[in-house]
Amino acid sequence: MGRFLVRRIGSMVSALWGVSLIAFFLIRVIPGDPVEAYFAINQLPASVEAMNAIREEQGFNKPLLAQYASWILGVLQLDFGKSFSSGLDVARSLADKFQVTVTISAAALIIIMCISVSVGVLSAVKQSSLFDRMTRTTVFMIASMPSFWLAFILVYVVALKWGLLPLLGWGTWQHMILPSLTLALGFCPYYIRLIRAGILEQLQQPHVQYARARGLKESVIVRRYLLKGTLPSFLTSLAMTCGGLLGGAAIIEIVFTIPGIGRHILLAMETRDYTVLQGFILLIGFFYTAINFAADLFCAIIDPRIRLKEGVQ
Amino acid sequence: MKKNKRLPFIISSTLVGLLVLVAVLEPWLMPNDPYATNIAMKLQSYSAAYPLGTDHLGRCVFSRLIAGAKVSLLTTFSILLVTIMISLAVGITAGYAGGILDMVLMRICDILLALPNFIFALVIVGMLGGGLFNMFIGIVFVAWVWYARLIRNMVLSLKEAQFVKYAQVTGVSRYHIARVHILPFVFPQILLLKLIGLGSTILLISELSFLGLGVTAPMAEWGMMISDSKTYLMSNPMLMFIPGVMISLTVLIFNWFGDAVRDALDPKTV
Repeated sequence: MGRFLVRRIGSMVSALWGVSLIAFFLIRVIPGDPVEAYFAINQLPASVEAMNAIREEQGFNKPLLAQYASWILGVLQLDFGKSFSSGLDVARSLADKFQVTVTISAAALIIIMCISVSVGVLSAVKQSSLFDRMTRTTVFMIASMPSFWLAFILVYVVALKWGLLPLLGWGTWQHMILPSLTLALGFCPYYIRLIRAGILEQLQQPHVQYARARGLKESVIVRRYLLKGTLPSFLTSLAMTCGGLLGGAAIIEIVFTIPGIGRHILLAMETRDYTVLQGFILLIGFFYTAINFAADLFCAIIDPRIRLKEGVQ
Repeated sequence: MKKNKRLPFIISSTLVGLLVLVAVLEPWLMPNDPYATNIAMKLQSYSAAYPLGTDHLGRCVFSRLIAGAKVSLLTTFSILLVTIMISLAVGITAGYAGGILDMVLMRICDILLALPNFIFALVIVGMLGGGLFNMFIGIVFVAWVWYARLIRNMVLSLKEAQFVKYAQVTGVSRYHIARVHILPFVFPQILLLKLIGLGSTILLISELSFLGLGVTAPMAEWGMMISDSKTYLMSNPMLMFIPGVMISLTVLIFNWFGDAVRDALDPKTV
């Protein structure tokens, strides 16, 4: 277990360092000058002297490596710098926006787990039943719909036609229902299929057949044998989905005009706000690798085969 | 059993063919110019002249749908082609050459995979400034990585196969082995995976276009048509509904086609 941990943490740190390089250099390689964008957006007279003064002040005229070094040293002390266009502290404003996005994503994650486990198990246990066939068709259709369109359709039907939920915006728990539901629906098809296939495979296993032969109740078999067997693959892909969830949330936020990370980033790209974008990419990378790490760890704990195999290497 | 598998394949490939036909025959299928604005005729309902009505600038919705088919399909297929080429090149090089080259290439993949796909593509396209070509670059930049790693792992196991070892013993060049003995094994599997993923590429294109990062203003694209019509959700919901149905149908057809091809080729899954 110890070696497993060391190896995984090592590869995580090196990947994150790579992400910091990408975050810093890639957005600078792409043409477009933040100072020019700043003058254009604020409609300031763009004189060469004025622009150079700002470049001097922001340190944009220093060599790239020196800029990178001062940024990464700051990041290690949790100082992500100040936004170039708004002057706000990047860490604080990102944390504010992230809070909203993560709330939606977490709610969506819970919905995904509830829907996909219950529907997946039911359609596997009752394979080829009417329910199973209907689920497969529905799942296939939902998987083909663009999430932002589904969001508008739900807004139209639930909020505009029936008036059940608030239309757009953010604030109360009612505002959360439609966004997280739309976000979740986009991911459910994949997981319903994953769980259904996993359980169908488990059903053939000798230990499940033995449990059945012992006369255990169906609900006990499902809980103790079938679910436990599919859990590792479910969790690993759920962790990989978390990145997709954050990205999906960015779009959904724009549909529902929620002040989350999505709009923040679109704005930062427009103004070419390097410090905000760098911080954002690094944070997302950290989030994503940390969740994957947690999932791997969890799988290693519940499944000794993974842990021991890694240990032998 | 065999008949069971052939039917979905025939139906779905016919539908894919139909979609392609619509995109190719585009100029003859459009009743109106998809770019001709006519404010006097804005937000019209169905009529003989405008089969699906008009949008907020008086443009024919039906013609724009057909024009959008060409944009979506052309972009999707070119993304498919270029990502396959890049991932094959990187994957086979890394897997077959091994050593330091393999390590460097795989570290790069690790780093690129440490960022979620959509967000990564979003940042690249957004920084490049949107537009059809920039969107293409952004999606390709992100999409090749996962496949390259997969191909590399496939090549690693192929390297141990008898026929590759035998070829090595006979002394043919490494390039020849890669081209003649490894590529034909890897290519169909990757093509199949990419075919299954075509639907999600179409969705990605529509998402970026919806955010205003895809095609530029007058060009007709389904995601952008949805974005354009969001102000009219209350008064003209059909304006939003129709392009979304188009996207969903196209993705559905491609997903179905991908699944059907897989089932037809692979005897294990039914």
